[in-house]
Amino acid sequence: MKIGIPRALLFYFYEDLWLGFFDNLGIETIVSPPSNSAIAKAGIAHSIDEACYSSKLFIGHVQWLLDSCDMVFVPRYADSGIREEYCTRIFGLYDLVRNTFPEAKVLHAEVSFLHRKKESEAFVQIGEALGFTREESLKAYKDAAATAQARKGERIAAQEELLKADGMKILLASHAYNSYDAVIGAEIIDYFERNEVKVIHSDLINTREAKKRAKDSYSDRIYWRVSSDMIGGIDKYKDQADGIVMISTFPCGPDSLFAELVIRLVKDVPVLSLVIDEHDATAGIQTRLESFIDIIEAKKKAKSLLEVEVAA
Amino acid sequence: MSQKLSHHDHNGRTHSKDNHERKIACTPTIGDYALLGDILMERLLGYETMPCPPLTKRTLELGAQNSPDMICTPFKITLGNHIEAAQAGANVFIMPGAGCRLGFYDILQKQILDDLGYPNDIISLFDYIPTTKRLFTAMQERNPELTQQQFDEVFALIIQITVDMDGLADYLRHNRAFELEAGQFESNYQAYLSEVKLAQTAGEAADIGKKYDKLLRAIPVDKPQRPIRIGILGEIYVVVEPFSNANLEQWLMDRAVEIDRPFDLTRMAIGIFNNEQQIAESGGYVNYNIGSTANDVIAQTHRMMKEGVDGVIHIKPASCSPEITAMTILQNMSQDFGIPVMYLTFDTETGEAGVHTRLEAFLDMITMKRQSADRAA
Repeated sequence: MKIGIPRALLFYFYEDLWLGFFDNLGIETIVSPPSNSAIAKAGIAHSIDEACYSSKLFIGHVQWLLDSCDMVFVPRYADSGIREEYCTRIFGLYDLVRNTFPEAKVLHAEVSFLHRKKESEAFVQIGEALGFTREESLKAYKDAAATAQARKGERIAAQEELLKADGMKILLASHAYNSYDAVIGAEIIDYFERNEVKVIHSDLINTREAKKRAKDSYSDRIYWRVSSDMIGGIDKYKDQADGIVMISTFPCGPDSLFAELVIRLVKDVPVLSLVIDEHDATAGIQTRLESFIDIIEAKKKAKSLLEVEVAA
Repeated sequence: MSQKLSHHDHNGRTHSKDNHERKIACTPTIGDYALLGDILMERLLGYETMPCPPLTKRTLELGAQNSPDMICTPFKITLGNHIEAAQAGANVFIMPGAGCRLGFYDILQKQILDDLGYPNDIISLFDYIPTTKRLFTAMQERNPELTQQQFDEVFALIIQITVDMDGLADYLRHNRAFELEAGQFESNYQAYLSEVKLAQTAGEAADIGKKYDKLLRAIPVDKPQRPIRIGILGEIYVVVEPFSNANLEQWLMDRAVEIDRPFDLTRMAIGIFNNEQQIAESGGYVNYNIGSTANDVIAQTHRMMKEGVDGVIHIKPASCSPEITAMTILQNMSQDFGIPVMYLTFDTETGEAGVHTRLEAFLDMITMKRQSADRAA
């Protein structure tokens, strides 16, 4: 028995939990490789034109896995708490996959805090479907969840260290599945690293903290987790960054509202908003990143001149 | 209603009615439903209301210019409504405040109107999960003297009108194409709307509804045994607002097509609490909630296909996420049942002529399909 896990969308939120769970049960898993042009092409071919690029990539990853595993793991996450809903692209994934690849064997269970479908119960259900007892499944889940939480804490702490370093820092504001995807955020991160700019990630924040910050500083009515995560992350890190680069994939529902709100409300830090779609050439983006760095440097220079004047 | 009405503006300051800041409310155009917003504003808050300036190309341009590119089309159109209304003096607007992206429209639209220099209060009727309690709170925040009883009476009136107007309009869609004397259905329906606007109680509104139901049913029609029947489904705004969908219902009815369009405000309001049933009625195509009205789109398409509809037209605004998921499923249903589905996406640039050309081709195709099926039988 080999379980295939698409390296896309929620994988970037739950990697440690999912892999840890199957590993604890001794179940073999295969994660699709980082996105590449063949995966993107397959995803585009099997999706409705107007679907967002991130979800097209997801479909491409599922397609890649079909011949390499016995079952594809597509759990249905509806929300992770009150006012922490996922967008419809994400919570519709199971039905989307089933209707796109009717022959595929899909391993799934539902997680919804609002509908009292606890994550632990979903994993018990999955464990039982694979022939394990309730106790074995629950233990595998609990251990994996604890490890996942500890790892996230470590990553947040590592970022805190990075913030103390000197030099230019850019806050990369996006959803984890965009920031870390090989054909979306990775090239942008590479570009900054090549130019000795440090990259701060908006997703390295505790969800509850993000929600509180988004509520206090922007709006108390946000009910999408990906949006409050992003806005909360921006609120937490923006004052320590020299600029914010926002990445959205076309056409993103949550970002169409909240990226715009951020652009309108964040006045003290320069913001560059990049919308990536399936036709994007890297050269165009590089030019925009270059000029963004130039703007930040010019701004810094002007500010230090002003400080010299004030001091004199 | 009391003359000394007072209310809070969005900064929490209290104003009395005789303050220099006059409240003029405008409900954006969405089918014929603006009259419901007017009743809320006038009778619960004591605000003046003004009709929304008519939807034109300029409305779309203003909306599109001032909206984020990736936002769905109803945001752009209703923002265009707000801007034109603000230019004509309106300063209070209404948005549902719950739903998909629709639930956040008011937050961003308020910011955009502020940035454009139009002082405004956008009332979000609901929040997150729509309840009458929240609606009452939203109203009471602006009119502290509002009592629960006043609210209940007006709310009952609004429900009555919604159910009646949706019922009458549904009868129209099934029959208007076959009226013997052109224009009778429409003129009676318009007469109903102007009369019911003045109703004071739910009981009065119900009587007016019954009267017009009789009148509509008395209009002579020459309806064939099996007219060409087309189902129209999709996202609720483009379904109910003819300007946003190239007036496709009218176009089809002018060509003797019976329209099965189950979606209206009544169905949507009930549907919010009916998700499980919609999934159960989807014929096994869907397991979970796939967002907004998309589950109902699947359930209703399944019903229509079982009933032997000739064709289905699925309509949505550009980038409408739940409906994009629905499309993948509709493609499978269309194939399994052998019933054609046409997909139309509307944005602020969609031209009527192009839509009508596609409708013509679709109608020709399903008419020929019907004829060859009849010959075979």
